[in-house]
Amino acid sequence: MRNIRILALLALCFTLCGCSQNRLFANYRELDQTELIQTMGMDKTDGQVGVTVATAVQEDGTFTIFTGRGQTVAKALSQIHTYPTKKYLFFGHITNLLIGTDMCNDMSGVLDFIERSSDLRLDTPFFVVRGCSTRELMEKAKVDGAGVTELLQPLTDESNLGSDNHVFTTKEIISVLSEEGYALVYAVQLTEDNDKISEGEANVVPAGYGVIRGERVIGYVEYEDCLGVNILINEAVNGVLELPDGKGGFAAVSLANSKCEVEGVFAGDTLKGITVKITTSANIEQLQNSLDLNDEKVIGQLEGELSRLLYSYCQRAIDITRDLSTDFLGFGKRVQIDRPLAWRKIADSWDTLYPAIPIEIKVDAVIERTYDIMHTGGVE
Amino acid sequence: MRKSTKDTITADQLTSLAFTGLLSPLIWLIPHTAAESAGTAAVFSPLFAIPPLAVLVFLTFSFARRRTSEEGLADMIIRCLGNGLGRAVCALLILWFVFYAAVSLRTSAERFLSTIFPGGSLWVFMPITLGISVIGAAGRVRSLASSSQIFFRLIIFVLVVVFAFTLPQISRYNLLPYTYLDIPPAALGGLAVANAISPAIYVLFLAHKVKDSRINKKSILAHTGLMLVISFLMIITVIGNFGVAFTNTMQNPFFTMIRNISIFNVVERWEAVVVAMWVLTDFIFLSVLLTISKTLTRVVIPVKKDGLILGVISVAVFLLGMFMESNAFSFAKISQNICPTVNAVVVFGLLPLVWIVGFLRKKL
Repeated sequence: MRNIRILALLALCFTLCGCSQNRLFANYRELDQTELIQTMGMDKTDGQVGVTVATAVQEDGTFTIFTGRGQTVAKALSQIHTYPTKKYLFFGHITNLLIGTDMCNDMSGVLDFIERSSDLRLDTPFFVVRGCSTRELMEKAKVDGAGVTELLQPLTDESNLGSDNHVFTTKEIISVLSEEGYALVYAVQLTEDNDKISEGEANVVPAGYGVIRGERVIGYVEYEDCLGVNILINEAVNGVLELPDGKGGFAAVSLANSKCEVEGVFAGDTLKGITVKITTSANIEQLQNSLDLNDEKVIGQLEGELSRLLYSYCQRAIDITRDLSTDFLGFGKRVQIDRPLAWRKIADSWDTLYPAIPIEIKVDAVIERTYDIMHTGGVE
Repeated sequence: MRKSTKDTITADQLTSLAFTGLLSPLIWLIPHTAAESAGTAAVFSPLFAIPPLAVLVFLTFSFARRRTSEEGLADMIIRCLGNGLGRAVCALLILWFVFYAAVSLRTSAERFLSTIFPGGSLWVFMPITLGISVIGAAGRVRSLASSSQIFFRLIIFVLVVVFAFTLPQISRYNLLPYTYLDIPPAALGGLAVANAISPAIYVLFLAHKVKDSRINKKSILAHTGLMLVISFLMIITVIGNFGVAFTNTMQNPFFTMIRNISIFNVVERWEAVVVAMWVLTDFIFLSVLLTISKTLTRVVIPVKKDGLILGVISVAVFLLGMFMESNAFSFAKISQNICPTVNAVVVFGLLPLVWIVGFLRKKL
């Protein structure tokens, strides 16, 4: 038995033959022979799926784009693998996933592919492109030597800092979509109207949110309306707002701790309405005119202006949900959490109930901080 | 009865053998099964698992207390049921353990293919996994038990890291709400959790290897509690991250969740470490199942050659595992439905029945 064991151990040593040359697994390559794909876009043209992938910008300032086609994302991607390239294309470090404008009308199977893939990560930011295909975006997006991957990165980074936008990950989108049947997705578009870009260059800029329902994008929330959405979905992290100061100028305040709570107003088991309570604090960033901030009336006036402004943002966001007949703000889920038993009786009819349900918005805004400047502000 | 003068283990090592291998089926089964049974209320399932597990712990203590120092569970089954019926039951149990080992082996290989090595082959992973497990089962139980003690600490460390980085990502919207109407599904989920932990009792078949006749009750209780805590954390992180609907679409949501871990944006692909640790639990679990099968065979058939018995069992396990189902989703039905059902029948049906019969016949 001892000899058999020794022989068995020796036999196992033959499996330690390294990972190259397809001995055990066909997907291993040396690092210097590997090209990391960082951005992957999916389009639909002429009834076919086109997958375009882009590398990061190389040391020589160039980056490479490949496009494959097929009836499915999987086939299109496998076609890219067949292209003669100097290096092996590796998809395990994709940092951005994009959907082109045409594909927004029929995303069937796209999320399914991403879920199944052993290469892609679900925490990858997911974007929809407005106004062009992802290939066009990848080809044209170029600013000071930066390519699409580099231009998308600041949007993701700023998502955690500002209130204007929030980049949703693939996991967030699939999770909400599976649970509620809708999801929001960050939208981007190409622009050539930017002070920082030179002639012939184009930048990638935020373009609001796309609203996914089922397997298609049914509409958009424009960029200027995103703040209201973010406040209502508790993703408003920071952000500067301009309030009339009562003297013909503006006071700039930054949102600090914004919180939105949703309650169902029930009469028995009948939903009579929804109350949306927003509490937020803000800090004064700049005054155009001198204001006495020790005067409670002045602070109260600014808080009133802030409340009115936030109210209008939120009302606009709710109006968009009504226009699209889609509760993408998740009010239904929050009413369910608030009154789970009553919810069971209206759950099935929520989609038809929601557009007509009265929604009351209550905003409680507080200005908490003026930093070191207490007595004067701005220029008289 | 088998003489075990040299190859003895401590009571703590027996406990470690029981629970180290268990982490593999626990990770495979718990998040998906509990979410499917109980929805968002699955987070309460570990609580509802306590009563059935308490019965099992009582059964374990009772069998352990009433055995002699050279008796394993197989000997006690024969003592309780009589020579003929007892051996027949042990023969059935051999079939069950061979089947269970085959399913575990195939599950281990399928996991590699579906998570990291999509271009790989069962013909690579199954022989290698079985090979190292056979070496484990052919050697001394003491060596296996010592390995399990080391591996257990390693695996717990890896799980702690996983939970540390996945707990902050959970969304409360995915976990709420709960009502009293969730109690029955949560209880159903509790049965699934208890069933996943219950194979720990199988190591009583190796109890004759323990130096003295006692087992470490505190250690068993502590390990059972730890398994419940791990189950709870697995459920809350998976459902909290993915939501119930998304979780239910996946075979192995815990692993999918691990794939998204980024440690301070510096370390990614943490799943490689988890898969490596997972191999260790597979090795222990398979080795224990093979050792139990070997032990039972020696009780049923008067064959002295351990090597021959292990060889036959291993070939049976390999062939059964390789050819029981040709595709992964048909196999998933076996590993996630049939196998747990048979396990429940054995652990919560057969073993209590043996105990009752033994008690009534005053053999215990």
